Amino acid sequence: MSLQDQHLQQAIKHAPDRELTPSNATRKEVLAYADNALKQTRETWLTRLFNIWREWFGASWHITGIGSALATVLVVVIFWHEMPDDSMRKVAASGDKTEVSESAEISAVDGVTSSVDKRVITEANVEKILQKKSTQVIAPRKETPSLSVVPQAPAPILKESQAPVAAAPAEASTPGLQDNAVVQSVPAGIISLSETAQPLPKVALDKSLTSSAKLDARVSKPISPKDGVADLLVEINSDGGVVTANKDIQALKLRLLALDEQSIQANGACLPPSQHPVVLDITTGYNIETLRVCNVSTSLLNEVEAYNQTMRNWHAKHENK
Amino acid sequence: MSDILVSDEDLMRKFCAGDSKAFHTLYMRHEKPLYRYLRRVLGVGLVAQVDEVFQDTWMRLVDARDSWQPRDGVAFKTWLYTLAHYRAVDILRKSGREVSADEGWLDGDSETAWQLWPASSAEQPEQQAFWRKAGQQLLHCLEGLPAMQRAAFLLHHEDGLSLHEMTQVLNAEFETVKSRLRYALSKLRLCMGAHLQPILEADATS
Repeated sequence: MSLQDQHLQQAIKHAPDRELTPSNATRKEVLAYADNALKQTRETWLTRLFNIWREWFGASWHITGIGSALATVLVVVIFWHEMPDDSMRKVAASGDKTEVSESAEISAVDGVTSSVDKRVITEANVEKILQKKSTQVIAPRKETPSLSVVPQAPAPILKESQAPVAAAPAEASTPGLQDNAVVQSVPAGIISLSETAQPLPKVALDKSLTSSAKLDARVSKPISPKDGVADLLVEINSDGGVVTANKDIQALKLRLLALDEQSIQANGACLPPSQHPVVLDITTGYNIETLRVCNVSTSLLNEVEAYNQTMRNWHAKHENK
Repeated sequence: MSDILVSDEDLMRKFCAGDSKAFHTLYMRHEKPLYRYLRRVLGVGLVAQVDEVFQDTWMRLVDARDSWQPRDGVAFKTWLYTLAHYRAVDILRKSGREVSADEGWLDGDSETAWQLWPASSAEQPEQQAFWRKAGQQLLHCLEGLPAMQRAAFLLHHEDGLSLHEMTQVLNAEFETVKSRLRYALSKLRLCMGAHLQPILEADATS
């Protein structure tokens, strides 16, 4: 018997269920299912790719990320601190070097602040430095004395009524002209008032001195009483200021003199001549020795003036050298 | 290239590569034949299950696409019908219907009546009406066949599968498939001859 029956085959081809189809819902579900499967496959491949990548680099992935972040922060911090300082140095380069150093010190101390803060601080610091400098007095450099005469400003005459500038403690124990050598050995430089913040005696200066004065507040050793103020006054009165000054110059007693008119006591007696503590003349750097006397005469003033002028002339001549 | 000229295997390859349009083409190509097959195999008693089995068959195909490998002698159609048949058998077993009764009966008398049928190539309008009635009767006769014999007949006569392909779809030996097909043909001829012989005789006298 044949296994292929053409009659049955023809009959089945003409069967009435020939056009049977599944419902539209079934068709849509099948097609949608296939589409979703392909979509999930794409995602799965991406997931697999990510998983493979994570397997290869997963262990160091977090470390690498954290390391990169830290490195970035480090670089930012470095440039955050370095670049503003450099710019500040450039800005300050046109100004005073002292200001630059001060701002650099503050920047170094306050290293955490931002560049804006640093700029504000630096500007404030500049003002501070200027204020500080205004309290400083620059003393002239000492020169080796030699014998010569150059005209100079008039000698200062101290008066009690005038305001003091600065002076050493009133220790008139050993006033003397020999201490000039000690004074000369004092190096010149910037001297701050803060360094001499001690109770000062009241010393009156002549207006001409205070106006031109630029007096240094540097305190020198008190004059020794053995030098003899009365003998000095007698010598000036007898020999004249110029001669006396030249003698002192030859003896290397370089100094300037100031007269302090001593008030007369109630009983009519005058206190014996004495010396005030020594201050320095800012022009010459010499000690200014104050002589307290009663009844200052015009001739004495002139001779003291001549004495001081001789000293200044000698100083000016040798200062130029 | 038109989708009609593309083989099922190429469409399946494209679908596996991510081409959803290839699957749409493949689906529309096999939608009606597969649905008819399931409808006929499951029979009138399980007609409500046809859509479910049909949908489940395609879903299984989609899910198993990665395991599909085109091989010589195993066409896509064979694979598709294998999936459908397995699912249908599951439904039949769950429903308690007999699926393994291969025994049959052969009636020599029906063979005589069978010879009176008109030629299968006849396409005349009156012949078409005859064959339409014959087709309706054949569906009725198929309902009386065991499921495995019914499946063997449908796969061989309706869907054009060879005996070798039927062995894969039915998961049976070659001789078993032949036997099932033989029983199916004998029963159908007997059934059809008994129904159509009076019609044929009336046509012959007129």
